[in-house]
Amino acid sequence: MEKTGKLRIGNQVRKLRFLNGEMTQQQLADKVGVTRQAIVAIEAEKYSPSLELAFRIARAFNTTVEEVFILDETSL
Amino acid sequence: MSYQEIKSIVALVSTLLINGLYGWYVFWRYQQEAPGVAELFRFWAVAMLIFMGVALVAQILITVVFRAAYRRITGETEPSFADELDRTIGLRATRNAYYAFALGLVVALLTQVLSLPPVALFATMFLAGIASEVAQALTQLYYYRRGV
Repeated sequence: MEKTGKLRIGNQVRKLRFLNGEMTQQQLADKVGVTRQAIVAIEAEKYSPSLELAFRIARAFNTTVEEVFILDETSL
Repeated sequence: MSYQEIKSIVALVSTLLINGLYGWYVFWRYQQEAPGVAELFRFWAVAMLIFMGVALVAQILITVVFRAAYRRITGETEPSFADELDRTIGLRATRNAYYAFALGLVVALLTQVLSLPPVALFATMFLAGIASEVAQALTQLYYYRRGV
């Protein structure tokens, strides 16, 4: 039987901010067009962003979506 | 605690305060005036129309004071726009507010099915309005804290 529960999606946003010149949450928020609170929620894995926002975040770090967001295989 | 979480708490407290005080005032006046059947609808129509104005002015004042206090206390400015997280939470909060009001409306109609006095209909509708605003604020607070 197929699982229909919520998938757990982790992310590397905090690490990537650190690796990109210690970019602040506000700087990232301004770059991708959301509020700082949205970045806080994404980092804390309280919010999975839309596909569009996920691409914008990846682009802000000059990387791919798969490098930023990771699907927890155990939640499948 | 984030700006949105504090805003939700302020909305919850102000809703309970404004609606509670105004509701108490209206029921006090209702008991003083004791309107007959002919005047009953007019009494409640006037009370609800005045409440719309009172609530609007109070909300504007509370928003202005809250923003000023938030800036002074935290040294931060409030977000100038609503992003996708705000919109997602806003939609869920609005949905729950509608559910609460619809439930109140059904209960209000049931008061008349059960032959309760007409004041029960208006009182229940007034309470349904409060319940919907409380549901909205609580839903926002819940999703901002727990996540979506």
